[in-house]
Amino acid sequence: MSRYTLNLKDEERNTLYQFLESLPNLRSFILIQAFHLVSTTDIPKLIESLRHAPLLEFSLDNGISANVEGQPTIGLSGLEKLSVIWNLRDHVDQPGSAYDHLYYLVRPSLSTLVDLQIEHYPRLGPKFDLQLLKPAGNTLRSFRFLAVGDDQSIFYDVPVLFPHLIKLDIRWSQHTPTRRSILWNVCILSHMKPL
Amino acid sequence: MHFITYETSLKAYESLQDEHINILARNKNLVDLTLSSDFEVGSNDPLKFEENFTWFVRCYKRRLKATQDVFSACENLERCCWIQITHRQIPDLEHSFIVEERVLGGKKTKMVRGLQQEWMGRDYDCLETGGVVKCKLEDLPGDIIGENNPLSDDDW
Repeated sequence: MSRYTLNLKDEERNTLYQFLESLPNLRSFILIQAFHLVSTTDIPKLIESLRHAPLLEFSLDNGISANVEGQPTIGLSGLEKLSVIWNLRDHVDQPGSAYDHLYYLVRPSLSTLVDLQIEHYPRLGPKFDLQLLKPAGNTLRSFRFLAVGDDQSIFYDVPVLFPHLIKLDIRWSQHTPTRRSILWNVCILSHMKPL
Repeated sequence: MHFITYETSLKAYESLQDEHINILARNKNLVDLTLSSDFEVGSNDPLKFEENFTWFVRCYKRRLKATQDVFSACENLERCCWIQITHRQIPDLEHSFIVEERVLGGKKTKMVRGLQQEWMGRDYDCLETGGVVKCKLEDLPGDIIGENNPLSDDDW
């Protein structure tokens, strides 16, 4: 299921959650939203409305940027394919809370994931700790990650954490000042002969 | 005083390049690789105006060379894609390559082939020199596969 729209009223959202709860055999749920079809504060309700279903694929784009609110939501378990586009900032009083919420969302399925995609857009703050994803090492075959900063360690971490990968996709966030790959970026040698 | 010559900078480049290739080669089972890239910073070759097709050709050639290096180290790799950040009001470019095994003189050899991009397939007037920028597939290196390439329906 996927849908493009701007926003929903509260009663419309509740109708959506009731509808999702009525689907006992749902295997795949994909939410792509430009704004807040499902607002950040409604993510727990969305997850609860899907928890009964035997989902194998779950894709969540939280829409326009917002601050995380409340307690982290524990994500769905048993997923094989998970995609999270996480455009959330820390709660003003809780540094690192955006990553905490992201980790809680991903954690329950780490031991079953075959395909994982994480894109996050923090303007400031620390990077997401890839070591937290280590439990996915036995099953993960495809990993797509939008990286932030110029930290080269991701290239050393990935083959250790995910030794069975057949598909790897690493891109750099547009909020990274340079937006360039750290691979080969050290070759800033103006004497290099242009090809 | 220490002078950086073209030869010493080339050696430094090759050494760093080896290190980067070795990092990627640790992914033993990798079949499909996508990375964002900006080799133009290292080559001091920014895009100066949007329809500079000689620049497009240079960018493609850099990634063809990098892909050949990556394929030589990652033995299972079949596809490599470079997302090029242009820093201009044009979309980022995607340079995709595949590897084909061919038998040459009784020996199996891996050949890297480019996949056609939107700007490829015809010649352009060169706005800098007044000459022609040759962008027909047969004039570009990498034995480019045309629009009906095997990855055109890829969902990534």
